[in-house]
This record gives sequence, C-alpha cells and structure tokens, in this order.
Amino acid sequence: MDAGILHPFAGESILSEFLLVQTLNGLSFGALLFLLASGLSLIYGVMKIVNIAHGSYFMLGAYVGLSVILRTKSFVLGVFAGGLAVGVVGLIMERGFLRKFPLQALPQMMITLGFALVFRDLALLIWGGDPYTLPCPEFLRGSTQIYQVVFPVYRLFVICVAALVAVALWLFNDKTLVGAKLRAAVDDHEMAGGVGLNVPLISGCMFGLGAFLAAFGGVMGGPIFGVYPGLDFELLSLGFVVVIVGGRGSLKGSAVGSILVGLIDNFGKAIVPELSYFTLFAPMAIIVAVKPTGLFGRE
Amino acid sequence: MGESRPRTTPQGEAFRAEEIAPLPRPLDGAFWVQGRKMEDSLASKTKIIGLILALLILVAMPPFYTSYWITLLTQMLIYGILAMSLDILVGYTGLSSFGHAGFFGSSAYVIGILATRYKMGFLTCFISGIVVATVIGMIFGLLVAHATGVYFLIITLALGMTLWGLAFRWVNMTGGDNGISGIPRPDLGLPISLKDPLTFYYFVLVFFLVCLILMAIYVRSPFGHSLKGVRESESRMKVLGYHTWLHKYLSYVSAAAFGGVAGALWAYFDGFISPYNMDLTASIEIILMVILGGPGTLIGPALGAGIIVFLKNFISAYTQRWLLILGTIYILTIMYAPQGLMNLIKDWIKGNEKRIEAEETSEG
Amino acid sequence: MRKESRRRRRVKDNTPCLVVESLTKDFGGLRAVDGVNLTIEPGERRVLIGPNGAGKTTFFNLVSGVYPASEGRILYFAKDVTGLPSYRRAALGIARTYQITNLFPNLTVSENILMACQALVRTKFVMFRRLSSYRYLTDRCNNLLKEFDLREKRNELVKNLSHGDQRQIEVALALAERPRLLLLDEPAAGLSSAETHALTLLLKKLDPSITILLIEHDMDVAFEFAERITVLYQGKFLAEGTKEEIKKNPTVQEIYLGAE
Repeated sequence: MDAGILHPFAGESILSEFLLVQTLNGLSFGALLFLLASGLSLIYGVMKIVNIAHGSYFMLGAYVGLSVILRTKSFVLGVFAGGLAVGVVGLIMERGFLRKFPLQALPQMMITLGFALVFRDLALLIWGGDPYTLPCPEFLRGSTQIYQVVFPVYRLFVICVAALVAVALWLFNDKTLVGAKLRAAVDDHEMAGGVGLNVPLISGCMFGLGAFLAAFGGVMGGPIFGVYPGLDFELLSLGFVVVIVGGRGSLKGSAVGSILVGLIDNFGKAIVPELSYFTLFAPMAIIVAVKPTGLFGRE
Repeated sequence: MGESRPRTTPQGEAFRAEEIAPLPRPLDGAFWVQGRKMEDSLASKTKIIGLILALLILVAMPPFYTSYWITLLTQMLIYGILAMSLDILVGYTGLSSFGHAGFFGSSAYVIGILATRYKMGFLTCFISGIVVATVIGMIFGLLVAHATGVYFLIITLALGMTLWGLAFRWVNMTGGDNGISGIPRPDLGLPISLKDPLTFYYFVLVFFLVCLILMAIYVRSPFGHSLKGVRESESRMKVLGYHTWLHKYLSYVSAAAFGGVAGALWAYFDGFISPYNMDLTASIEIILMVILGGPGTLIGPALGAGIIVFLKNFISAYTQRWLLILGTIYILTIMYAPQGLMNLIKDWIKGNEKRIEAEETSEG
Repeated sequence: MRKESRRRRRVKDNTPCLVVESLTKDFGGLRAVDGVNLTIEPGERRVLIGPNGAGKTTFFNLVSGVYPASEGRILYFAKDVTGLPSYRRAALGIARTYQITNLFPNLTVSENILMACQALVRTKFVMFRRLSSYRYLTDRCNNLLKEFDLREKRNELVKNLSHGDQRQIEVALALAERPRLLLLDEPAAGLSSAETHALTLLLKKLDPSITILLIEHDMDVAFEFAERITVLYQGKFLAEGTKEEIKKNPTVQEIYLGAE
C-alpha cells in the first residue's frame, strides 16, 4: 500500500529508506492510536462522556496482558484476557458510577478522572514502577524486507490487525441492525428511547466495547512500546489530539486522525526529538482554527 | 429552570447551567447592590470569625511553628494562588481547564533556567516567568477561547500536555526528566535572608494577600461580572451585546498570568522544578482543589489547596498511595458534595439563618 | 477599542425599521425559513403568528444574529446587518427575549439586570474597580427593578423565582439597553391569565418609539396588541394585514382550523 510513495532512485536510497521506515513506524503507531481513539470517540459520541480513564484502559490492558502472557506463554490469550478484563472494568464503571449522573457531562468526566488516578496507583502497586516490554509472539518475530528496508514483522501485523478492526467496526456501524440502533442512540437519546431502544444497555455495551478496544490496543502495543506508569496520560493526550483533529463521534475521523497523528508524531520524533510534542501542536492548532469540529466532525 | 437534562438549541449549544448540576453560588452575592445592607447575623459573624482565625494562623502565630509547618504553610499559600487563578476560569467563567499546571510549570522553568544558568537577579527572573506564562496564555487563548464545555476541556488538556512534553523532551534547555535544581533563594538585601523558612514564608504571604485582593476586586468588577454571565448563559450574553469570545480570552490570559505568579514563587520555594510539576496529574490536582473548595468562591479553592497540600504531605509520609486516595476523594466529592466545601458551608449557614429567623418570628 | 456607545443614526423619516428580503435558512436538508419578505415601520407593533414549525423562532434567531442566514438580507434602519454577529446587532439597538427562559439562573435578579445594563458600555471591561461603585449602572438597575415591580425580590436567585417572575425578567433584560427594535418571543408562554393580562398592560405602556415584533401563540394577546399581523406557514410568508383582514383571511383560517 506504500508503493505509490516510493521512487527507488539509486542515489536517493537513503532518503527513501528513511521515509519508508518512518512512514511504516508512524502507521503502526497510528494503528494503536486508532484502537485507543476509536473507543474514546465512540464513548464521547454516544454518551457525551469524556473518559479521562481511557488511556488507563490502554495501560491496564497492557499490564494484564503482560501478566497473562508471562504465566501462560500465550500471546493470544494475553490479548483477549487484557481486553476482556478491562472491558468488564469499563462496564462496572459505567453501570456503578457514571449512570448516576445521566447526561451531566462534567460530573461524569470528573468521576472518570478519579478512576484514572485510582487505576494509575493500583497499577503502580501491583506491577511496580519499572517499564516492561511485552514479549512478542514467536511466529511474528523477526523482520521482513520491503523494497530496500528491513522492517519488523510485528509492526506490520499491528497495522493489519488495526485495519481489520477498523473495517469490522465500519461494517458493524453501517451495515448491521445493531449498528443502526447505535447510530440512532448517538443522534438522539430521547428519540431512541422513545422508539423502544434500550439506551442504557446500548450505552453500557458501548462503554465496555470502547474499553475493550483500548485494552486490546494496549496489549498489541506492548511488544513495541512497552508499558510503564505514565503511559496512560501520554496516550490519553494523543487520543484527544486524534479526536480534535479527526472529529468527535466519527469512526472515519478516528481512522484518519490516528494515521495523521501517528505519522506526525513519528516524523517529529525522528527529525526534531526535543520538540516532538510541539509538532503535534501545529496541526492541532490549524484544525482548531480552520475547522473547529475536526476533519470529519459534525455540528 | 431546575431541570437536569441539557436543553439544546438546534445549533447544538447546550445551556451550560444544566450541564453542571448543581452550580456554585458566588460568595459576593451578599455585598451586591450599592447601599444594600450586608446580610447580618450568622453569615457576617462567620466571616469575621474566619477572618480572625486566618489572621491568627497565617500572620500572628507562624513564628511559633516548627519549620515543617512553616514550609507546609508556604506550600499551601503558593498552591492557594494557583487554585484561585484556576477558579477564575472554572468557577467564574465556567470553563474547565485541564492544562493549568502548564502555566505554573512554564513560569517556574523560566525562573529555573534564568537563575541557574544565566544567574539573573530576582526581579528579572520573576517578571520574565510571569511574562512567559502570560504570553503562552495569549497564544493558547486564541485556540481555546471559541470552545466551550467539554471541548474546552479536551483542548486545554492537550495544550497542557504539549507544554509538559516540551519540558520533558527539550533536554538541553530543561534538563528533561531530571529537571532543574539548585535554584537559589532571591537575595533582596534584607536583614534576614530569604533562605530562612520563616522569612520566606512571610515573603510568600505578601504575594498571596496581594493576589487575593487583586483577584477579589477582579471578580467583583464589571468584567468579572461579565464572566459570571458567560458561565450562566453564553447565548444570552451574546444577544445582550457581549463579545463573549473576547471575555473568555481575557479570562484565560488573566488566569495564566496569576498561575505564572504561583509558578515563579514555587521555583524559589522548592529550588527545584521538574516535568512532574506540570503534567496532567498536576493539572488534575489543581482542579480538585477548586472543586473541593467550591468553584466560584475564590476563598474556597484556596482552602481546597490547603487541604490537598496538607493531605498530600501527610499521607505521603505514611504511604505511597497518595494518588489512590486522591482519586477516591475525587470520586466521593463528586458523588456526594459536588458543590464543594465552601458552598456546603454557605448552605449550612443559610439553613441555620432560616431556622433562626423562623424561631424568632414564631416567638414574636 | 471601538466605542460601544449607541450610535443613533440620523435617518430619513421614512426609513423602515426592519426590512427583510428573501430571508432563507437551511439546516442540512430542512428549510426552516423560506424566502420571507417583511417590512416593519418604526414604532409599529407587529405580531408574527403561525402554527408550530412555521419558522417564527428561527426567524427571530436570524434577525437577532443567533443563526447566520443562508440566503437573503436583513436591513435595520437601512443598514445591512446580515453579516453581523449578535453582539454587534445588540449594540445597534436590537434586543430580544426567549421563548424558553434564558436567564442567568445562579445570579440574583439585580445581577441579571445589571448584566444587561452594562452590556453596551465600555465599563464592562473594567477589571479593577467594583461594579457596585458605578452609580449610573446601579441606578438604572434600580429603576428597572421598580418598573417591573421586582424590588423585593432583587436579591433572590433567579432560579428560585416563579415562572411568571422569570418571564418578567426576560423582558426587563431586553429593555435594559433601550433598544429600538424589540423582538419578543412568546412572552406570555406559560403564564396564568392574570399574569398574561399584566404582561399585556406592560407591553402597551412601552415607549411608542420602540418598534416591537411579537411572536405569540395566545391569540387574545396577539390580537389585542397588534397593529399589523404577519402570518408564517412552513417557513414561508403566508399573509399580512390588519387584525380584521387576517381574521377574515380564508387561508389563515384554514391553517389554524386544520392545526387545531
């Protein structure tokens, strides 16, 4: 899919190698961001909740995945254990706490905030402060050759998985009945309730699904980026930048935004590492100034 | 007007009053229209008692405290200024800013760099710190002033993290993860050096009082009044003739400026600044100080700051689990006391006043 | 900073207060207001009626600047205000009330009215002097409180007041800035018949030089107050005329009988 970008000049091979590697890196980061941001955007779009704990889901997923993988030596098991465990946590958060403040954005957000702090400290307590890298599954180790460059297989795998998830989500949203119900609930809570849709159930499942996706991304990202305290808020901010750039509540926006942010962040780190956070600032500022609702946001 | 679900115009703008349930009541409601008698009885008695206590604890008695308490109190005052500066945004204008620690940290870093690397004097450093924080506020303000509610929150969060990222990654300038240490206390040629904790405490107290008075006048001014209007109903403000973007912008910049003052004082107090002073957790702590104390009351957030600083220091001596406890306090506060302490106290006073009135009239 | 003081333009005597030309507003696929033309003379008391969904409130939102127009022009005393934001139109003398009460709920009545009193003066940017020290503002506020008989309640929080009082404050806010064009969106909404009667008296006592455009569902209020009536239907202009003309208009009768 990158074939169109490259012109294999003999003399320019170093530049094109650099571009290719960085683009693939950026895409793999963008893939993980998509798993995080799609959930964040969905939760925001459906329930109008800003989930400050969303980055924590990512981090917790990675930690849980780590423990499971170390114990069972199975990556697949780790991925799904992490995803499900955190998905359940998300469900509990929604049902037990957030539901007490229906449609009040600020108190709900504050509660997710409290949980984010709690999760961070629990993670510190259980797994300690050292960073870990999750072990990569056997069959995905090593690298492969793409044009002139050698690139880790695992990162390509991550890109593919995220793309599959994106397609699955899009199909689900656009083509299924459940997806249609979901869109109805997003557009107008009351009408949806009035037409007989079980909005609380949908909301709860939405939240759980978002949590699952984030945690899933966390485990998937483990072998590349590792897991450490502080990952939660770093990714949360990036997730928000994706939502700002791509537009809230939009799956397409999350996808495009994630790719953009992943690429910019990566190229930024490669070219000007000291200012890497600022390289995100510029596009965010442009979007906010030119199209405040984001590239694909509605208003 | 007591409904809890947000109403929206076809534009999608929610009435902010309903978005936050229940809203704080401004402290200055009682002194309002010129010539109107102050609310007598319990409210003013409580205020006078509070004032006397504050004078005692903060002004008269510190020479008798141990140095642990003096440094703790200094810390409380500095964060008090910071919390009050955020209250301008959160409590009075109704804008939740999740990047406020960025201004605090930026100012402190400027002091750190200028004082340690370039050995500049107090006035240069102090003013530069505040100026830098204000300028950052002026630039960021352009991006955020059009936003509202939850969107404002997200953008300020991202912007705050951008500043953190700068502190974290621009290692040549900021020392990265290690921060900047060895910031010396300013040498003002006083008979007692500012290295002495008690002297430095009074130094900070002066700044605290000045900031408190300035901010108190600010929120009672016509402009401060307009901010409350923006909080209550931005749509109505526009139609009345207010250029609300401008008011929000100025509010944001003023909050940044006062935040810069706090940051500058912190640099001299602690002698050390690191990215951890300005990350998202730090911004979150400030928000909690405002919420705990009661948004829109100015004194409330200062008290909230005192409580959180005290708890943090106290708890950290016994356990590492400060964040866990903080998070739990957060959740409990929202679930059971969303108006914050200050407003709880005021409600308690009002409740007692009504009871006393009722008793008096029935006896009459 | 530009002077916020009200510019009283010297206009020719026959300049209409409000001229609306082919005003249209689209919301995605929905055309809420469709090519409406309207002319209102200074000092006129015009009532806008029409069944629900006729586009009356949208029309108000267009004239007051809350929505930008999709097509058409709005001329206010011959000045094209179509592109101006709300706050600039307020400075020119356009004021409005809301059908769904839109006040400052956690502020007192005085504070609400003061907010309106200071809206168009430079004083609103003063940051280091107490608002309560500005005599001319507090005096204006007290006068309005007296006019609207709200003096006793002036320190009550607006959210604790009765609906009737709140509707009064709605009108007070709009009048505080001495507007030349007053848009009243169903001021009698939710009022008891006694309150409605009091409101009608109040409206009749208003300065005759103020041009008033009223949306009203209550036909008695509408017909009592109006000099001329404009009827909107499904976003389009349907009919216009005096009370008698409208009462006798067969199309109008049809849409109202049909709607009831």
